[in-house]
Formats: sequence, C-alpha cells, structure tokens
Amino acid sequence: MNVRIWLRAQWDRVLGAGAVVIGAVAILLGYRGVAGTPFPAEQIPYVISGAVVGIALIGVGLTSWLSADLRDEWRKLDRIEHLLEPADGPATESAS
Amino acid sequence: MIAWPRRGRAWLLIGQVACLATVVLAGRASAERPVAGGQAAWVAVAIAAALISAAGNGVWLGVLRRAASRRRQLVFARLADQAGHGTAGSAGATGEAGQAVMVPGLTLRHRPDCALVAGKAVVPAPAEAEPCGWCSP
Repeated sequence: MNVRIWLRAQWDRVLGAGAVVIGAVAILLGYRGVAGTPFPAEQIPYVISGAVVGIALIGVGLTSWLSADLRDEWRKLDRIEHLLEPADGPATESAS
Repeated sequence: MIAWPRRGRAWLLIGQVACLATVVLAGRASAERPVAGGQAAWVAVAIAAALISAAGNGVWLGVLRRAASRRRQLVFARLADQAGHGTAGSAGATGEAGQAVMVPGLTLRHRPDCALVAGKAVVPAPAEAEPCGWCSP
C-alpha cells in the first residue's frame, strides 16, 4: 500500500504511537538527568521536563490511539449503514 | 449518515499544545532557580498543566465514546428492524430457505435472513463466494 495513503488514513495512530515513543524517551532522559546529579535543585527541572512532559505526551498518544479505534468502529458502522440502504441505492459492498 | 464528531477538536488541540508548552516552560523556569524551594511553584504549574491536559483527553474520549454508542444503537435498531422484514423477504426471493444468497453485482454471500441483504433483490450464491462476516453463512 502507498505509504502516503496509509499515513493519511492512519494519521491518528501514527500521532499516537509517535507521542508515546517521544514521551517514553523524555521520561528516560529525565531519569538520566536526575540520576546524574545529587542536588535536588538540579533534579527538579529534569523531573518537570522529563517525567511530567513524558507522562503528558503518553496521555496524548493513548488518547489519539483510542480515538483512532473509535473512528474505525465509526467507519464500520458507516459501511453497515450503507449496506442497509434500499436495493435501489448505491451498490457497493465493502463491509465485513 | 451521521458524521464523525469534529466539534471541539480544534479547542482540544490548542489546549493540549498550550498545556505541553506550559510544562516545558515551567521546566525551563525551574532550571533558572538556584534553590529547590523556589522551584516548588513551577512544579505545581507543571503538574496542574499535565492534569488539565489529562482532563481534556478524558472529556474528548468521553464525547467520542458517547457518540459511538449512540450511533451503534441506531444502527443496531435499524438492523433489527430490517431483520424483521428481511426473513420473509429474502428467503421468499430465493425460494429456498437456508441457501446462501448474494446481491447481484456484489461479492459476499449471506444467509437469506442476514440483515445486510434484507429487502434487497438476491440470487443464490455460489459456494466459492466470500462469506459475509456479519451472518457467517
């Protein structure tokens, strides 16, 4: 399948996966930063920039992924509703 | 057909970007404070922004789930309605109850009482036709 078409169709999953990966990387970098210094005043910025940003990004990513699942269900319901149209309606059959 | 809910999507996006920017700026601001005591306010700002972001995500997912649930109920009601009419109509059209049928010009074979062919003109389906995932003939 054409990558551009796939990206257009699955943009919300791509966004979700990307946000989760970036969030995980932010948490790891934050952990490395915190572990690298013994002073709390130097650790707190890493906690904010790493952990809090990472958790927020993971939340955004999961929301986007769940939204994509719901959108898939919506498309399936579209197809079922399309098939339920009267026989003289448009004749396409792509469901199931 | 009902359209996928889009109202409020732009506001959600703006809110998420604003929350993430706030958290990043709070991290930078806290880095400029030399003592941990002076950073507490920025930690609170960052956590508050993350919580607002999470709440926005939760509200958005709730809106989508409610919309999908309403839509599902509507489609199922329509399916049940057509299944009620379809049992007599489709089976009668083929003349042989139990034999798989298909709509001329389409590719899937269905049970005669499948709601997806209810009310449509059907013909007996060849065995090699792809089975419908809904009624599994």
